[in-house]
Amino acid sequence: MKKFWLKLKTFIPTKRKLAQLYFALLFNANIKGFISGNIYQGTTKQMCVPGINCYSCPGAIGACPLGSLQGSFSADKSTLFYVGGILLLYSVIFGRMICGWLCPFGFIQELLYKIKTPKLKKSRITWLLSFLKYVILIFFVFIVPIIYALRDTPLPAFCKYICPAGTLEGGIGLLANKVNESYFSMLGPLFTWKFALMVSIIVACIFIFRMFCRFICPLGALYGLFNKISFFGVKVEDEKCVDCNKCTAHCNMDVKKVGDAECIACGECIDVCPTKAIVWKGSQIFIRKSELPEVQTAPEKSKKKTVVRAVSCFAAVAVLIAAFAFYWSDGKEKQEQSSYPTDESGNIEYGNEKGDYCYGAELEIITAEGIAEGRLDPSKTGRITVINFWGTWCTPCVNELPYFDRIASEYSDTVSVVAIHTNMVSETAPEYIGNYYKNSKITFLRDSENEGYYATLGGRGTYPYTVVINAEGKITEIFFEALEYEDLKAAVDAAK
Amino acid sequence: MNDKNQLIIRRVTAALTAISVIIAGICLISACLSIYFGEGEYTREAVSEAFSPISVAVLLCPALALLGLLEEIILPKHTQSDSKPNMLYTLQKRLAATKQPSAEILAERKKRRIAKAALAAILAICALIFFIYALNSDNYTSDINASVIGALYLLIPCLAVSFCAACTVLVFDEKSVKHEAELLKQAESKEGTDVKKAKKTSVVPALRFSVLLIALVLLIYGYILGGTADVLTKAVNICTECIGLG
Repeated sequence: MKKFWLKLKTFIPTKRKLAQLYFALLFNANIKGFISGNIYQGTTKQMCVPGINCYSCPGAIGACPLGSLQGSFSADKSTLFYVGGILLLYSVIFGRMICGWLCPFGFIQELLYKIKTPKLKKSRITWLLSFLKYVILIFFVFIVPIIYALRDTPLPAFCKYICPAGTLEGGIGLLANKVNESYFSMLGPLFTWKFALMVSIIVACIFIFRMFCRFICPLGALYGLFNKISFFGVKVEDEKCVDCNKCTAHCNMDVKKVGDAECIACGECIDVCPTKAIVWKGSQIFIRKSELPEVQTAPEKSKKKTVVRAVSCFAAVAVLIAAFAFYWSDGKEKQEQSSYPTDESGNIEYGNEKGDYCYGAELEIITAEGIAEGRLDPSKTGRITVINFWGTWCTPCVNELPYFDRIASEYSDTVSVVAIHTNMVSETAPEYIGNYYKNSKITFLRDSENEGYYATLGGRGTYPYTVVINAEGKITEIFFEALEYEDLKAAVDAAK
Repeated sequence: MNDKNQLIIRRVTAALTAISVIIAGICLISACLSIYFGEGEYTREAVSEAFSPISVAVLLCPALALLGLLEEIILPKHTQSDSKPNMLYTLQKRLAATKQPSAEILAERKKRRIAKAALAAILAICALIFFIYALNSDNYTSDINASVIGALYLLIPCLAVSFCAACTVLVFDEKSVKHEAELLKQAESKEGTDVKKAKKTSVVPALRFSVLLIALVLLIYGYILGGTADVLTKAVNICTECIGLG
């Protein structure tokens, strides 16, 4: 029995594993999101978390730094300063210690690696492959998004084509909930590619230690560049080092030297070093060991350490529980319906399903010059109306707008096309309209506060969102996905 | 249970788990492809129909993983041995610190320099070819997928060529360093060599605080100018492309 308990003790997770679990839970503290199938929409999402954690995950309480960086290229320069500043701050303070201690996806990979299979050990080939993530960083995170941003088309290329965290946490996380049945109609070639890639990466992570971190993750590549100058991490004290290389042999990452760009500061090499040459950076930041007065006896020292540890653990758990409680009660996961029917006649059935009469709302008009005088209710045009909810920050929205423009020109006598921009960041809309749709027959409006009209018409947090209503004001078609010209034409013809 | 039997059990469990994981992965990808190329439309029913038959293969993986855990608990602890220490980096450091290298050692170093220069040239050519294409905005049309795939048609061969060249030079470099070490050993046995340890002055603290200052200035400036609004907009709306909805 004693042997069994001793054996069981070896399965107690290390401090690092506990820290990884803790931060994975903290960064996904919106438990309610997994149950309700909606993502969190509160203000904490303007803060980027340090590791890879898709902001479309139902549990996510913060923004993904990589997604935000790619999005910032097509936004105002203030966004680039803000996101750049956050990334630089994380890099210089923690370096790649974020990968080893804070990243939820890194935690998932390490758990997968624990599955008992033959493992692929590191070699010179894996060391060469570790440079692939720099190529992905340059091409998918910088070149492609910047080129398309210069054309006013936001494109998070890495998120769109590669990121498995988004597919796993966001895609599968949302699709698994029955409430999001409508999202299935959006799945197509992109989902097929991303699902296949996600499964391949997960399988590979079982055989190869942190395969995504070592060969693909551009965020790790970025943080790794600052590893040498970061405040926290591990370092080798050269005067004690005897170059036995036991540290690099023990390490599962492709390090050439402890603390280089591949080092995730897990600290497992510290115990392996025979001369205790490897230390945590900042461990002597305030006072050197040699300067410590020898006043405390050993039992007192250990008692103080225990008390400090207990208090820290208690405080950490309290913060986590408080976070769960806060996000459970916050309720900011669905926009409030702030619009009311303009005609509350008892016989007419208003709703946001097909066949219902469409709710109305008096919305502000946007032109190339800015917000114009007067308002318009898109449900009261008296003609077939195509209502499209969009944003300049949304790639599929921007890509499909030309088709709406074409419909608006070709059917100008019988169809009204109304494009309603999100209330948030609508300052970019006038310039965009002036550049590309100055002479368009589309009527551009701005949604009410908190995207109220979007929520009233049944929007579920995805853009673009299109509702087609007939001349009587009844909803004939609803689209949750981006549309081609043929789909729009068919919907308009069906509404006649 | 003797060591041999324990090893067999471990290896069999590991092999079975590996096979089941690979089969499960293939099944999942095939099911997804069958929906896309078959019906062409994803619905909850189509997904259930495609994934139900393979659920056994997929569920076998956690079962075998659990078996592996039980094996770990029941059998005596087995620590995987570390890789053999790669002394190449250490050797290179010691060789670089040699005060008076012989003519043979210098010749060996010259060969390595030529190999590295050749590699640098190949990498530069590949990078140049790729960047000329990648930075030309005419190659990016409104069909984003086609543009990205077009760029990948050039990127992948460039990467492949660079990778092969790097592997070749790496192997050559390793052999050359080992040969130089042997030559140095022979020279040391004839006469003692004076290996000096270079003293490095560190600019790390200054750089650290400079970058920290720049980061804080950017962050505060961006925050004051309202840079959080765009981040919030992207984060509170579902990024359909990011999660593969498309």
